[in-house]
Amino acid sequence: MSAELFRTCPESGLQFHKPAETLMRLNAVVAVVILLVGGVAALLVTLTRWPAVHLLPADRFYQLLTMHGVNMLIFFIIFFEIAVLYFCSSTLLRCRLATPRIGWLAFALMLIGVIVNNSAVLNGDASVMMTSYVPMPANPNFYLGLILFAVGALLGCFMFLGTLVIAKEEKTYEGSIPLVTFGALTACIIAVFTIASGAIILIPTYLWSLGYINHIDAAMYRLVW
Amino acid sequence: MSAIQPPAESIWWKQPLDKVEGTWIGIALVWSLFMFFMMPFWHIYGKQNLSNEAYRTTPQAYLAKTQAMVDEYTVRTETAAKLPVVRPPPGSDVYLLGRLWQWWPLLELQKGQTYRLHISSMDWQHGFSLQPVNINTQILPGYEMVLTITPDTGGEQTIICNEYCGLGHHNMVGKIYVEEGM
Repeated sequence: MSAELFRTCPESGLQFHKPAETLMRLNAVVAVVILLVGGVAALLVTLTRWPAVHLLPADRFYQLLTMHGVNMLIFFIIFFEIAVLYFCSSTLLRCRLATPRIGWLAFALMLIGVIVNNSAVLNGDASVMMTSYVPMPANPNFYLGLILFAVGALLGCFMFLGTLVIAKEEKTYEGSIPLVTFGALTACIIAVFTIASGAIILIPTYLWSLGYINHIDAAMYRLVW
Repeated sequence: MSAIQPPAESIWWKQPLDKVEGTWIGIALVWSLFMFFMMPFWHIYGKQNLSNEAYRTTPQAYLAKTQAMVDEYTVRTETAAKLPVVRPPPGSDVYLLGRLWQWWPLLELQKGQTYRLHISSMDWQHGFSLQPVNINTQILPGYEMVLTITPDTGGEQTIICNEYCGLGHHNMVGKIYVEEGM
C-alpha cells in the first residue's frame, strides 16, 4: 500500500483511498443530478394533478410520471447507494477499494443505462411507468437501459463485498465491522436480490419487445419483478 | 461508542441492553405482530379482500363467453356508444371484461342475491376497483378471476381501473347498478 494513494480528510480525520473517493463523488453527484431531473418531473406532475392548473395533456402527464418514477425510485436511490457502499467499505474500514477499474466500468454502465432509458421515455413510446407491466409494450431501449443499469449496479455491489474481504484479509480493522458498515452490508444484500430479480425478468421482456419471444406471462412478470 | 468505528469491546454482544433500546425493540415487536395478525383477521372479517379463484383462459375464449351473456340478458343500452346494460339471473355466472379503455358490459344486479362474477382482461393489465365500497383485485390477460359476490348496498356502484394501462387509463370507468326490493 503506497501512501500517496490515501489522504486523510483534515475536517473529519477519515482516511480516503483516492480512487475510491473519486468514484464516491461521481456516483453521489450523478445521483443528486438524477434527483433534480426526477424532482422537476414531480413538479410538472403535481401541477397537472392540481385541478386549478391542470398543466399537461394525458400523454405528457404519463410520460413525465414514468420519468419521475424510474429516476427517483431506481436511478437516484441506487447511484447514491453505490456511493454509500464505497464509503462504508473503503473509508470506514481504512482499506483500498477492491477494483477501482471495475468501479469505473460499473459507473459507465449505470450512466449509459440511465441515458438510454430516459431517452426512450423522452421519445414518447415508453410511458409504461416504473413497473412496466407486460404486455403493455415499451420502446426496447427502455428495458435495455434498465438492464445495463442493473448490471453496473450489481458490479458496484460486488465491489463492496470484495472490499470487505480485502479489509478482513489485510487486517485494516480489529474485531467487528462498524455498525454503519453492517447496515450497508444489509442494504447490499437486499440490493443484490432486488436488482438481480428485476434484471432477470427484464431480459426476456427486452427480447419480447424486439420480437424474439412472442409471449410473456403477465402473472409471472409481476411475481419476479 | 461510535457507529462508524469498529466496536471498542471485542465481545460487544455481552454488554447489558440499554432500557431505551429495549423499549423500542419491544414496541417494534408488538407492532409487527399486530400487523401480522391483522392481515388474516381483515381477510376474514373485513369483507374487503375477497377470496377469489383464478383460471387460465384466453382473451378470445373469454370474449365469446361474455358476448353470449350480453346477447342473452341485455335489458337496455346507455349513452351514444350504446353500451349494453346486462341483467343476469340471480345465482348465475356474470362476465365482466376490462379492455382499453372500458369495463364492459354495464351490470345490473339484485341486492341480496349471490352471483359468481368472472373478470378478465382482453389486452393489458387492469385493476378492478369497486367504489365507494373499495374492493380491489388485479386483472391479468390470460387469467379468469372469479369472485363470489352478494351485493348488500343498493344504488349505483362505480368500477374504476387502478392499474395504469396506457393513455386512456383515467377514462376507464364502469358501472354496477344494484337494484333493491325485487
